[in-house]
Amino acid sequence: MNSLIRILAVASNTFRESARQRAFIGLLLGALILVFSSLLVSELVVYDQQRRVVQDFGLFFISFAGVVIAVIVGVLLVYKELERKTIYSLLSKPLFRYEFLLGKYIGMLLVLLIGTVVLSGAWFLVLFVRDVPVRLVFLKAVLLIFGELSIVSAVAILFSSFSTPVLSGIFTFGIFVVGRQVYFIDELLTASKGLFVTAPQIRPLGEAVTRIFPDLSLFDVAREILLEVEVSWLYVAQSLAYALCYVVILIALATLVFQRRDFV
Amino acid sequence: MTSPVLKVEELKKTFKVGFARKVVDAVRGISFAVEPGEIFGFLGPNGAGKTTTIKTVMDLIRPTSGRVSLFGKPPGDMDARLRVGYLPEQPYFYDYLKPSELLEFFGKLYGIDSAERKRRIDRLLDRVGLGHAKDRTLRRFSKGMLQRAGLAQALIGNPDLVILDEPLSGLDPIGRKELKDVISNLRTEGKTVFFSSHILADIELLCDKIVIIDKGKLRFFGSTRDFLKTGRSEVEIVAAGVPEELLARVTSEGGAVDRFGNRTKIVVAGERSHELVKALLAAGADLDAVVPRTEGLEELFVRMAGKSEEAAR
Repeated sequence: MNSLIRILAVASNTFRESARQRAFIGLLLGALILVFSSLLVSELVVYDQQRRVVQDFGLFFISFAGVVIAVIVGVLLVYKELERKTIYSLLSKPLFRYEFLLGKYIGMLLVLLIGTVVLSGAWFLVLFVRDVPVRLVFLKAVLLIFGELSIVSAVAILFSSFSTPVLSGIFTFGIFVVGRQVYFIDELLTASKGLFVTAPQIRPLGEAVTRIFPDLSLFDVAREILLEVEVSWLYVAQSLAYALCYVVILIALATLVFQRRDFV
Repeated sequence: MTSPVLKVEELKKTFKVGFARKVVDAVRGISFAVEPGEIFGFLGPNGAGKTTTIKTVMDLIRPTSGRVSLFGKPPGDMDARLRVGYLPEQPYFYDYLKPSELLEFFGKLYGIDSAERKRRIDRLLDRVGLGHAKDRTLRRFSKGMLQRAGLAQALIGNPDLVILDEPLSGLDPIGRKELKDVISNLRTEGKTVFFSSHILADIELLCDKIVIIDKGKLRFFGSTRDFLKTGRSEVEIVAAGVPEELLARVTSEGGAVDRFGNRTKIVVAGERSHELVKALLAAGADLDAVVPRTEGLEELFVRMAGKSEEAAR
């Protein structure tokens, strides 16, 4: 119980930091860009393509902006505490290091949640303006994006627990890019021709990637929306559970690294 | 016999720095113990290993070897942590917070309930002289005000042991006086205070016991009084009409002689002064002043540091 109070205290301070440092102004700006650019892009295509464009573009923008926020906030989260030396007074309090990391992570998830809600609101507004009915599957798509962002931010925290912000940012973004290709690599591995057949020596590498990296394509249902294929709640729940498993592993690894660190 | 509040045994800390992973011994096997209710000074020049030792005590740094215990427990133990307050050197806090919000946040970590938190925050801010700045964010605080906020956050958990790393540095004379008063009051409240400083005069006045370290090694551990006893005690005598043969004898026995017109200033070791005063009176000299001079921590420390450098050569 006390542990939960401490974790939530760190989480609410992390959230307050973003709010006070005007991170949300940037978010509103992002929402405005989404609205105007969606409307503008949809103006450029013929009328019967407009619906498809605002659907696709909106989802892409929410996902892209979310990943950018997750990487930037995530890699700076621990680094800023070290750089500003605030970590000394915080970790000398009755607070375990894992509580600190969990609190930071939950605070960041709150920021991402608000970000996703604001951007989704802007997207729904554009859909409304373009006479596209807001369907339940859009909400499911947004939930899945949030699941993906929870993994990306946990990766960012893991790297930032031992590396510099620039390297952590590069590694995290790299894992996001590879994660989005895991499905494709998996298909290549089972195919009777292609890269892994012509170059079998790199097959173990492909297998390792599909086993270690998270399959982030699970969280992208843009194609299903376009083809009007049903996305079930069970699928959403399973994907979110998959995200939770990765988050638990990543935060546990970050804690292991952080536990051994000296704060000189 | 009471058990020590803080015990450091054969503590060593080695860092590997730079690309070449050069080994630097920051702390080289120091041991000392702090008893309940003491004001304990931790002395040493810059780079002596004071902050490394304190961070090890606060579990921010893990020792290479040796042991640290707080209230008989390892420094990471939650029960021990609840009884300790810490002010880091040159403290930085979340500058987007007001001091009351900072204390509110830290108070939650100590598990203090909401009503008690509010009561303590108001009282502490008044105590450290920040009552007037409650609604200002820490971003607008001066260095001295930040130090006060730092002291308040160290005391929010009502700790039995208060550890302060260079608490007096960066304060103006009034701020220093006020902070020393706060430290003295902590003693009357029965708290143990462990604080580091390279300003020796502060420690001489405040501390019951001291540890002196230099280049990561222990130089002295004991009561401040005992340490001062190891210093030279001298007597300065100013007189007129002192016979030349008496001055020659003083010089030959290691005393110092300075002439100012018809007056002479003589400085001799404390134990020789009594005999010299008698001889001066017997010789018909006019005594103007006999002033005992005790070497302070400042002089003693400089002398000790000089000796250790000589030994190193």
